[in-house]
Amino acid sequence: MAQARKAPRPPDSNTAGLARRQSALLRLSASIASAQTEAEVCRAVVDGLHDEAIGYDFIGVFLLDPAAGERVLGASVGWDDIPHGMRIPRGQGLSARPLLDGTLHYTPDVTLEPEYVAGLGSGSEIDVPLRAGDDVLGVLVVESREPDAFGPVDREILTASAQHAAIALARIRLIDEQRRLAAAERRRADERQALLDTITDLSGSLELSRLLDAVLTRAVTLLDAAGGELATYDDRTGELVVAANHNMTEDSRGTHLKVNEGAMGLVVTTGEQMMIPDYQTWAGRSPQYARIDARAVVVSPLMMGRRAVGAINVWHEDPKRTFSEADCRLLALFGQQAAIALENARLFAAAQRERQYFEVLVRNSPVAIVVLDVNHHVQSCNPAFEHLYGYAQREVIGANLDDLITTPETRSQAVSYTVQAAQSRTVQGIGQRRRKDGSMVDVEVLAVPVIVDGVRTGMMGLYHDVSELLSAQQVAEAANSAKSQFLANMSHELRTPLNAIIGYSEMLEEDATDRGHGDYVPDLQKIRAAGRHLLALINDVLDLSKIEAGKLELYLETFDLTTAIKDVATTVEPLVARRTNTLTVHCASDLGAIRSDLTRVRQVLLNLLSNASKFTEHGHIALDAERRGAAVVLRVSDTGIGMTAEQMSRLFEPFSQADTTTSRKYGGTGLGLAITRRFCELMGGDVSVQSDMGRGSTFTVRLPVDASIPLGEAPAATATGAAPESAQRAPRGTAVLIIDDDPAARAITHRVLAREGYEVIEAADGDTGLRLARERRPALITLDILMPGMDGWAVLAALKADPDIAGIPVILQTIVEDRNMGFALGAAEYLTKPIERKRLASLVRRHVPNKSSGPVLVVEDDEHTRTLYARTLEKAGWTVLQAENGRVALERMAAARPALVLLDLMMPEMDGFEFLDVVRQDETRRDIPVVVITARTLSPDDRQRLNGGVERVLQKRTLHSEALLAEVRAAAANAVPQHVR
Amino acid sequence: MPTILLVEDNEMNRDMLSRRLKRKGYDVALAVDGLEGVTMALAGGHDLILMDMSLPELDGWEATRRVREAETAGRHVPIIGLTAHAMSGDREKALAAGCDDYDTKPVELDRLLGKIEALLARPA
Repeated sequence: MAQARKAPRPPDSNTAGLARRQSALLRLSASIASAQTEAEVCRAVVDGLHDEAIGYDFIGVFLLDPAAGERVLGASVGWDDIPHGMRIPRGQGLSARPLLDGTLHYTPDVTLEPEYVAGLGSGSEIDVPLRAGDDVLGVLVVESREPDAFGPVDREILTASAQHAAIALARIRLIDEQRRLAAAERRRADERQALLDTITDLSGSLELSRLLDAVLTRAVTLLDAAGGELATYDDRTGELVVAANHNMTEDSRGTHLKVNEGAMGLVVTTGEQMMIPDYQTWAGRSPQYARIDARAVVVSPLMMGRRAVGAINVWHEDPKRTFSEADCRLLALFGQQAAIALENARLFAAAQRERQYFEVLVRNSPVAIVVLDVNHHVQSCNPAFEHLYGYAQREVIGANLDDLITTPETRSQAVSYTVQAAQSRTVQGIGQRRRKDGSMVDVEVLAVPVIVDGVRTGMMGLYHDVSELLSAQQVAEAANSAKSQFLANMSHELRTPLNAIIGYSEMLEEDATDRGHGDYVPDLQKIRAAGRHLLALINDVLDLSKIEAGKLELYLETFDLTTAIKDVATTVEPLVARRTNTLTVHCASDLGAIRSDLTRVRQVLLNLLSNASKFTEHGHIALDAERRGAAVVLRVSDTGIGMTAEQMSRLFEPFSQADTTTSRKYGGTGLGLAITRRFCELMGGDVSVQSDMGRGSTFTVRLPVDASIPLGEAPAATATGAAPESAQRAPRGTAVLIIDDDPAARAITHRVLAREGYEVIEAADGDTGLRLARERRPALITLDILMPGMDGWAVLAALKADPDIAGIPVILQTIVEDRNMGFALGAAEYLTKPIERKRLASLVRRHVPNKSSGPVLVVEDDEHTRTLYARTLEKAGWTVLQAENGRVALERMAAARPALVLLDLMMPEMDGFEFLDVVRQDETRRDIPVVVITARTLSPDDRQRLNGGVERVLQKRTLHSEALLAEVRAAAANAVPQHVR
Repeated sequence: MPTILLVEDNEMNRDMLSRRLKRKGYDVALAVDGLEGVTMALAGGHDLILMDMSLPELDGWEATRRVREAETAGRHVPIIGLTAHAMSGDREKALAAGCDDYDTKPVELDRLLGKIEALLARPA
């Protein structure tokens, strides 16, 4: 920096020099004044003071950068190796001083100043502030190699120059500011125009791709960017798809971007605009954009409320260019427009789809549909309408609908529908309408107002051709009424002669008695009794056929059950007394009133009581009534002759008195119980029987408290009456029920099972099978598929649909090969015919314990658990032995050989492992299957000890009773009973 | 002795019932169809009418209605309707037509006699 310096000019050396200097100063002022830029001002100051007439050699003008607080060198002379634009930090060097206090600072000997930043190295320096008003805009620095080289004149010259420069700078800055403001104003106007154009585009066209193109092009153009992209986002797939691009090197449309991939992928998750100063060095760039030349990038999400529907970006190629705040704001505005466009397009597409859907629906509907405007003129109709009425669509459009399809007779109804629908009500009815050819058609009409945005725009008429339905209904009704009439007539025709038979025989009986012909009396009595029997039969058949035809209607009324029961008891009193029986009636105090058919309830009780009287002699009959939740239970028990299981199974069938000889001996039609059962079912209840041959029978009737809520459906019954209800439920028997129409197949199965020690019940058809299943609750059912009437599939479905009997395992035995269907319907096993005896026997054993299986030994130290298992098994028909540890278990085994052992492992005295060791050593007992039930998780060591010694290991905590039973059955089935070997 | 008008079209039933009633000490007048029944009933002189409901010419319900319509104030002959139908609703129908009581055929004589005596004992 050191340069030869002219000697400082001695002030006032001569007048000629003074004049020259004066003129140089004037030139300096002029050139400052004419400067157009800050740089020109700085240059003018430096050059002017360097003029020979003034003669400074080392001059610099620093301008203050207010933001950084630094001085920036605007122009200089003499300091040759100092670059233009050099910056001096705040507070550094001598030239910092005027900035602090706004005054001139003179340093006569720079070597004495510690703050001096080495420039020339020695000499003097003067620092003059460039002041405009209160602001200091910069510093004028003049140096000399000589110490104390500046005098008062120098101060004057330099102060004046600095002032001129400061004024010029302030002026230029003002002008710049004004220009900038004007430009911003122009730009805002442009933005508004661009947005306006965009909006116009948006409303003018609904073609989405063109719209998005337009938005993007405008954004790129307006931001003067090199290029840009717009992508749509589907939050269901989590992907962005580029929908429009502008000035990309390759067409990027269709490019898929995942969420968080690239800049657009990021903003759809953040919902915030993002600015990337240099894309080339940005860490988040997507590999899909490896070849793009973008530098500064700004990205905006397209938001609908809080939901991102896409993203837009624009970018500069020129590394020197950036996006301003205004640019960002503008892009955000475009983003909003694009989001709206996307949403509109989506709604439009959805509406379009919906319209197409409804069009297809209407076009293909079998229901005739016609749409009317507010003036009742036809707007459109569907093919079904054309077909129904014989009009082509073009013939009806614009016409008044009522003119087209009504006759004078039906018009008023049609008009009333139209008027009501016009009052925004939906109207439905059945009527007749006229076809084009004048014929009439029965239709179900639905008139529906069409309301759009709260405004009625017309109505819709829907017509369903019901002529076939109506005629079918009429035929059915006629047939039904003919049948009822026939029954009534038959009954009348049969009764009239019976009337005579009974009446005359009674008269003759009286005459014979009166006239002393007592020997005729027994025969006459027989005639009368036969007549009475025939009459009862006719009555019962009439009842039964009315029930079967669904003609028997209930007359529901609420009545006091206790009163009704006492009435019935009084009525049957003579009957009971006839065979010297006694009757006791007990009604629980909480019996209360029920809603049912009083006549039928009386009839049911009369039937059961007269039955009981009939089959009991010198005995006792009891009628008990109690309430159980939503049900009342009426029990009629007697000490009469009772029945065998076989007799019971046919008891409720029409014409099936327990014994063909009974009707001769005891009378009765054999229809009473069938009717009783049907009455009970009709009233939503049921009837069941329990009987011991020779000891008496108990008939149990369950009726719902409200006959309109049948027992199976009454929620209250399960809520309040669950426990006693299930306790009351007949326990599952040990019999096996065979349902098969083929007598030979039944016989074989029967023999196999009987040999295995099972009690066997047979049913020759599905209905009987179902009934027996309900009454007898067999332990297992074998079921044939191909049967006349109700086939096996239907029987299986019905079995599984009845919660009371759904748990009974069913073995399908059939020639039909459809295991999947069988298992899907809930069959437990599937056997194909011809019957394999061994296989059948083992399958049945798997599901049913039989007497030969022997007891189950439960070895478990926890008393609660042990009792639980025992009770579960006993309920399923097993005999159970209990032991609280291994030692006791061995004692029990010594007394009776169990069919199976359920074994806990952790027990005091002798644990499960030790017990097993002992048993496995014993030749006679090692083959008894053992099922381990344990709460502990078995270690490999444990498993080693059990290895091969046990049938199954079950986890205690996951073991419910059904699973336990299944395991026990399976294990017991594998152990073939001793005596069969 | 009280007189009973028996309106019954079936000859055997008519014969049998009339003889059994006579045996119990009643005077019995007979009519063979509804029309004759109404005519005889309106002619008067009967203490009670047994009216079969299924009759030719005029059925028992209609005959009963006509008798009741024609009766002047203060006069009321008790009528017992008889049907062989025993259909539910028959009883209501008979009472609605103007019968005082109702019974089913074949007649149980003791029961019918009970009803007859009850109606005759009623103060007119």
